[in-house]
Amino acid sequence: MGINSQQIINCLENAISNLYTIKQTLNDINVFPVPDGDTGNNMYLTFENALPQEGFSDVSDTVSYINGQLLLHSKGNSGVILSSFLSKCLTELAISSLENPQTWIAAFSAGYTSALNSIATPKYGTMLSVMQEISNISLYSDESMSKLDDFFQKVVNIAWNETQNSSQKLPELKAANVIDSGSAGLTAILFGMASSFSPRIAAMYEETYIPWVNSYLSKIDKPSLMRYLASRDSEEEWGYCTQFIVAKDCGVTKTKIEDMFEQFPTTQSLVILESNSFLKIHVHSDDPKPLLEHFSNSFQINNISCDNMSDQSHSYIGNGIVVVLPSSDFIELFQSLGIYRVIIWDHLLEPPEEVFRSISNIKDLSEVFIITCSELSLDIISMSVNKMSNKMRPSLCSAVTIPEAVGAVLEYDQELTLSDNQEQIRQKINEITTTTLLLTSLHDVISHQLRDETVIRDSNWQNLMFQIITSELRADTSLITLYHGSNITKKELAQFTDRFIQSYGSMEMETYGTSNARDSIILSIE
Amino acid sequence: MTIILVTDSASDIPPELAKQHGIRVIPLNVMINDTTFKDGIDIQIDEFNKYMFEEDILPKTSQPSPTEFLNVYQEIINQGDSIISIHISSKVSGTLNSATQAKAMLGTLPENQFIEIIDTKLASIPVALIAIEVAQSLKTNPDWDFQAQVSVAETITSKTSVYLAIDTLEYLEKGGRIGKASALLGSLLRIKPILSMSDGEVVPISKSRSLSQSIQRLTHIAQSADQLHAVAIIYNTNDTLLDEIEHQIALQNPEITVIRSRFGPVVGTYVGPNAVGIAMITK
Repeated sequence: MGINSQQIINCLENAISNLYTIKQTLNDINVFPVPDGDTGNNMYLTFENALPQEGFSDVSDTVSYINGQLLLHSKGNSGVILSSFLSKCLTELAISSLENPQTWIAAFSAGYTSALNSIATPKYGTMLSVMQEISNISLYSDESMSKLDDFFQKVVNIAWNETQNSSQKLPELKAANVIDSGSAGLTAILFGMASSFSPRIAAMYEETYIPWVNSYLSKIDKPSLMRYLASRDSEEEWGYCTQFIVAKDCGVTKTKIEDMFEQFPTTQSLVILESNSFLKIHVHSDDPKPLLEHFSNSFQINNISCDNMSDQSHSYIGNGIVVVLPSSDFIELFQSLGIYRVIIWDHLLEPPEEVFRSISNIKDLSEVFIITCSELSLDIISMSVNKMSNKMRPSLCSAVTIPEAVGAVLEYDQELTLSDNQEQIRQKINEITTTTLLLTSLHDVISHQLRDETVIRDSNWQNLMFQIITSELRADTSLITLYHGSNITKKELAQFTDRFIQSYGSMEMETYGTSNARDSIILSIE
Repeated sequence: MTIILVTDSASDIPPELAKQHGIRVIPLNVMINDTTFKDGIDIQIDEFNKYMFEEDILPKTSQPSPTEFLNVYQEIINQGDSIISIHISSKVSGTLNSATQAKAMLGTLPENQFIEIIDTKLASIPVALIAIEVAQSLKTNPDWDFQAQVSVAETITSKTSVYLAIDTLEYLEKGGRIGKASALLGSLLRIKPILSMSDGEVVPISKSRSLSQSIQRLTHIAQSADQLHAVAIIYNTNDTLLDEIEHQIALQNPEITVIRSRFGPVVGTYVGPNAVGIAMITK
């Protein structure tokens, strides 16, 4: 094997190894274009079997083999764009000296152009931006071009910087406070390739880059992402990630394929890759059947794959629960629990049109579990849904109070049938005792009627709350939660918590405060 | 030919059981500040927990080097024996990778000597339970050939599951081992999840609001499991949390001796205080 063949294989082996180490993180922070948690897998699978088991003596044969494998095995949006970039890069590198930084920049530039041309609607703030930046010769100083070690240090710095910038470039990433996972994956690949020429870059990857990417696991703000996605017009269904291959021997060209897609205007993320012998088409479509039928009537299409991104994104978003709340006081709490959609509606008022519109916008209500905070609102929603369409059969559940709704949400199990969920949630709700202490005072005295009809009075809400807890406590109680407004001070809460620990040390207690002032404190005993 | 079992310290195998069954344990590394400790050798769990929970130092863990595996493998091969090496999931640790590299470094083995490395796709006590069950099989069926014993190990592995009730996701998150349980992060309420492992990754299977609710669920999982063959339970800082689980399992399965263990520093780094777990092998 020629020196270049071995160098190219070494580069790619390091890149594959780097991808492997962070692929799960890339999955977990995958937000764009679809939050379906597969970017790491797709990039890794694209690469996994790309290298020849036995070397070829001619470097062009090695590159040709790798390019064929990359194109054939490329998977998902990120994998397909990556393979377009890398194939062209490798083709350029195969005819030049790998020791020359100019060669690399030319290769990056050719790879970027190839990737750009393969995408129907390019989006920046993605790996495309990383490709663009590392190809930009004006970013490299003379000093960084003098030694290969310095050059690669500059390449990874540029890629890393652009990956960091990605969090501000796309609204989805901004909402989720996360970097683009495809960009992070490409940067990991560049680190791998660069580490073949610079050992210090390998150390930098391990010690600095991996922890940095991993730090986004805790920074990612999924509730905020959900709010953003819910605010978009076509947010509910992600459709299918569809891929297929057409052999070029039937005379088909890339332009012809692009023209054919004009008949399918609702498709998204179209990427077309071209090798000497075939075209690979990747597209996101709500309904791939007519699309595939149309293409198969014109050519023989092979290697068809269809992944339901809606299923994948739903599992990421949390679950198929819709919660109807009487006020916006606790909206953030439910959003933080990963709720698919929270609708605000005070059931004592006529339901506004947007409540029904919000419900009717959910395309498949048979997949949705609706939890309301009153029997009445449940009945009205149930009737409305039936009027909207008799095909829609959402599962409905009434939790009378906020703590019950929280309990219902946590009890919901995606693995169970909707009716089993209803049964399990009913049981859970029965285990929760909720008491509301009204803070309205008469002559600075608050009063509360206990379940046994005894009326208790005190000027201090904490004293009353302790009497309520003592009265309601059961042998199997393990958790007390207070839901309060902003008018309860931190000092008061700290006093209450200390007193609680002294009195009931073996039990757990938690408080949740909303940002609005409230005239009541809700106590939940579980 | 004798088959020697090898596992790693992230299996949390109780030392006396490893000794009793002749299972070799390769320690992972635990790094606290700038000092590297061999898990279970240079540092024990109580000392480790002191760093972690009292001094609020988050240790790091790393896999044994291929050379550490090589030294043990070489010694066993030189004795004329074969090896079944049973390890934690390759998706949460590079330990399996080091074992595989060590095997490759050994090159061609002498005739009729073999090394099989098993990725259990699990972590902690279920890995120990598998190793102990394979050790029992080796004793019960000494005439079976190597491949038959490997098949036994693979079958046992496929029937093994693990469930963990943890008090906080904080440590899994900090350690970057949170996997699909990351969906539970960001909640404004404290959520006490029950975690399992699926295809080598940590996955949430249930959520509760209090640790005692989680432990009740753990007990329920054990009670509803069909035809238990072997069970192990494990804790981190509070062994009384295991009492009710053990009691309920014993009531329902009086023929089973429940193995009781404690998370070592490696897994302890991720599960945090008050964590308890149960590993089960079904018939």
